[in-house]
This record gives sequence, structure tokens and C-alpha cells, in this order.
Amino acid sequence: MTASQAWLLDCGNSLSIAVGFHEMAELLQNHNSYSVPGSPGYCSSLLVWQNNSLVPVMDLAMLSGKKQADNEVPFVSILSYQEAPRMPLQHLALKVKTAPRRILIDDEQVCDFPQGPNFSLLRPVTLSSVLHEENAVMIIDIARLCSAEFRDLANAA
Amino acid sequence: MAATNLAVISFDGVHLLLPQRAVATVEMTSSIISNDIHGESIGQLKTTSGEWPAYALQADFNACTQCPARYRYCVAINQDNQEAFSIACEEVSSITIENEDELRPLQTCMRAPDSPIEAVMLKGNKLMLVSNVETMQRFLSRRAAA
Repeated sequence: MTASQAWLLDCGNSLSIAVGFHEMAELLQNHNSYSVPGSPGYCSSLLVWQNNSLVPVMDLAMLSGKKQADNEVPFVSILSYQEAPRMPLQHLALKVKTAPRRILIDDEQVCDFPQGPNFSLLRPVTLSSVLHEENAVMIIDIARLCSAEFRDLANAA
Repeated sequence: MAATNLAVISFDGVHLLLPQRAVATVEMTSSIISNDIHGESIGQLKTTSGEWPAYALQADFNACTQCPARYRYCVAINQDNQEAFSIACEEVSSITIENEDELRPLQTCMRAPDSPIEAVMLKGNKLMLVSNVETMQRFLSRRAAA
């Protein structure tokens, strides 16, 4: 059986997720961001990255209802995704509490979707769940996480 | 590509861009009659050329109940030559955009359906928030109805 590499991201508030190995573009610390009024609370600012790209900053742990201070989640992981095949690459900056860890996952680790208020909203954007160090970790589809469907679902929650 | 002229309406640290051609007039906020209040407006901007519902917004686009003293100007905005609304602000200026690629649409995850912000632009170290008259009027009307 072949194991795949992934990144384990601690989003804070006891929420850990995994993303594909090639989806991680960069890790930033002490970034400056700009607030955008009228945007969803969990994705309400932009940071400037590389050649003046403006990248949305998302705080997934906020979806569990707890706002985290910037010093609680001092890093952002810049993730790359495509809305559809042959579309240009887009980026998302996900707030994380600690530096991401590279992990190996395989089919034998697949487990049930974790239970709990921190998790239920993420079910539609979860590709699969895996057991890692005795915790169920959701593998997230970044494109779906950035979709209008998820935005509207999160706003309604 | 034709250049685009935009009004920069600055309040509470926010820089809101609207089409310059929609600006009917810029008046002092002392011209706002505050005993004629609808919804979350702070009154009516009355001039010899028309009347516009006046709004004072905070940085998060929530409405102020009173016009802050530092908001000295009020920018009257027309839609199809009709009075649409006016926004109180600290500063008003204009910029010319040579290339509309400078205006970057917000990514889907940031675009709440009821948000007045459609795009952003980075100018130096300032983030400019881009709206248009129709979207802004719809946003303010909803607040007026609230």
C-alpha cells in the first residue's frame, strides 16, 4: 500500500485538518493584513503576498464560534487551489497555531467523520477523515472550502 | 484601454472607491438636516440642487447613529441623474486608474451576498475598497429598512 504525504494544520480551538502535500505554497509568520468590511467573519481580511497578490485570510476555528487573538494563531499557511481544472491557481491564507507538520497517510487510516460542533460545518468540504495519532483528522478540499456554497453555509450557521 | 476616474471617499480608516461620474456634489456635513431621518441615515443632505439621504459609516460599514465631528464632508451620489445617497467622510479625492486590472475582484470566499464591496485595489500601503452606485445603494437601502 502506498502512503501519501500531506500537511497537518493546527487551526486552533482543537481543530486540526490535513491538506494535500502539493497544496502548501508557503508558511508566513507576523504577517500584516487588511480588513475588508462586509466579508464573512471567518474570512474578513487580505494579506499581500509575493508580487502584490492579495490573498484572503481564513480563520477556520472561528466557525466553532470562538474568535482567536492574532497571537494565538501567529502563522498563516498559504495554500494553492484551482476552482476547476485548467483554471488559474488561486491562493488562500489559512491561520494556523503552529508550524504545519508533514505526515504520511494511507487507506488503513481512514475513519469515520469526527463528531463535535467544531467539525460538522466542515463535512461538505471534507474529502475523507483519517486517524492520526489517535485523533480523527479531516482532509479538506481547499477549492470547496473557498466556494460560494461553503461561504453561504457558514454564513447561515 | 480608457482610463477610469474614481472618487476616493475616506472615513474611519477606510477608502471607498465609487465612479467619479456619479458624484453630484461635495458639501459640508453642516448641510445635513438631521431631523429628517430614515432607518440608519443621519438625515438628509439638502442643497439647492437636490436632496440625498445621508449616511455616516464606521470602518466595518455599520452605521453611525450620529455624524462624527471629524466627518466634515458629505459626498452626494447620483444614479442615472437621480439623487441616490450621500456619504459623510473625512476626506474626498479622486484617482485615475489607467488599467482596470488594478481593480481586483474579491475572491468568492470573501464575497458575502449582501456586501457592498466588489473589488479591492492596493495603492501604496493602502487598501482601497471598490463598490458601485447600484450595489452601495442596495446596501444602504437595506440598512434604511432595518
